[in-house]
Amino acid sequence: MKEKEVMKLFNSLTNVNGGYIEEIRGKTGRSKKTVFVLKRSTFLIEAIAAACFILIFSITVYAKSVAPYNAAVGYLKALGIDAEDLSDYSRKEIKEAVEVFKTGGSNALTEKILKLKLKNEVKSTDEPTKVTSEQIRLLTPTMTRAEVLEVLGDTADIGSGIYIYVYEVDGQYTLTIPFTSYDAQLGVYGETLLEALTVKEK
Amino acid sequence: MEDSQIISLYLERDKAAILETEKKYGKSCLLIAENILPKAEAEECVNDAYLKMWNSIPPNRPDKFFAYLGRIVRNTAINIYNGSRRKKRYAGMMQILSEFEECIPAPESVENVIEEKALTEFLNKWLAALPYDDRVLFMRRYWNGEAVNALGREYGMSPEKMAKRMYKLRQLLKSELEREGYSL
Repeated sequence: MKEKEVMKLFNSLTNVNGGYIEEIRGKTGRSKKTVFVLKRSTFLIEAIAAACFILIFSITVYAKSVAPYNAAVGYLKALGIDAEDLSDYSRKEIKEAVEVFKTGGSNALTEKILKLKLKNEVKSTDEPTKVTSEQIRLLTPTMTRAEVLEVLGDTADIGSGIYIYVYEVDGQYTLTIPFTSYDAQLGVYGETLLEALTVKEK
Repeated sequence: MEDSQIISLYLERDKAAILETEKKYGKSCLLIAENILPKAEAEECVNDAYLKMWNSIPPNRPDKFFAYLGRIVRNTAINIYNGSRRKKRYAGMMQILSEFEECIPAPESVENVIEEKALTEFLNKWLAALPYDDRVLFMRRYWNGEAVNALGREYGMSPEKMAKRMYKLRQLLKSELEREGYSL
């Protein structure tokens, strides 16, 4: 670098006409454009803060209303009631009904909703479902009616007052599984049931 | 407080003069010094400049108070810079000086070596001939030492575009020096 010459030029500039120095007085960081940029930054911060507030508000609303409703529908689904069947009921009614179910009580609303469950059960198939003897062997005495249906699938119920499910095993046998009540357990092993198979009628 | 009132305080030997100077122009002075020196030394430099102001008014009575103060700050900073053994650590100043190097005319193209005082007069004429915006930009970059990026942002230009504009100004200064037949 030609340091001597450069410093000479730099020093000479120091002493230029005071008018030119006054022209740049206070310009740094204070021009209208800079103020605009600052304002824009402030606006950006405010916009981000507003967006965050809306997001938090939405999450709160969701947590307070939507989430409990979804949980209530999930609860009813577990009881065997389809969400589609609940379309006639308001969210508030569904949440209230579930609260009643959870406390073990009942009222007009819960009775109406329980009827949907019965209606669904009537919908069950009239034809025996085809299963294999391997599937039957999976059954254990403590399995409830619902658990058995989960393993073997829904099938024809020929019971009247009690549940008697009919299955077609290995394409050539018929198996009937009785349950004395809605919550009854199977009471036997699948192996035992296989010994009671009857040949399918043609 | 008006500049004339501050000058009156200096003339009356009232120490409030320094406080008022600091209050009104402290930030600007620090900016000038910080563009030549590291922050810690810049603060010291500005304090030295206030003392020089105190010692120089009276007898001096500046017409343009800020220009007078700014020159003292800038000269003090340059003296500290020149006296330092760690020049290369002052990145901002090194950058400005390297840009200034482009303004130096080639030795073979000039006839007379110009003295510092005459060079200042030459610069005064050259600045006077520049359009206002170019003059302000040149002064802000090379007198105030403001960064090209910051100037670009303020003028709504990309740093590259602002650097190009500065380059043109430097080339203009160089060609004017050559045209006048000056060497530094």
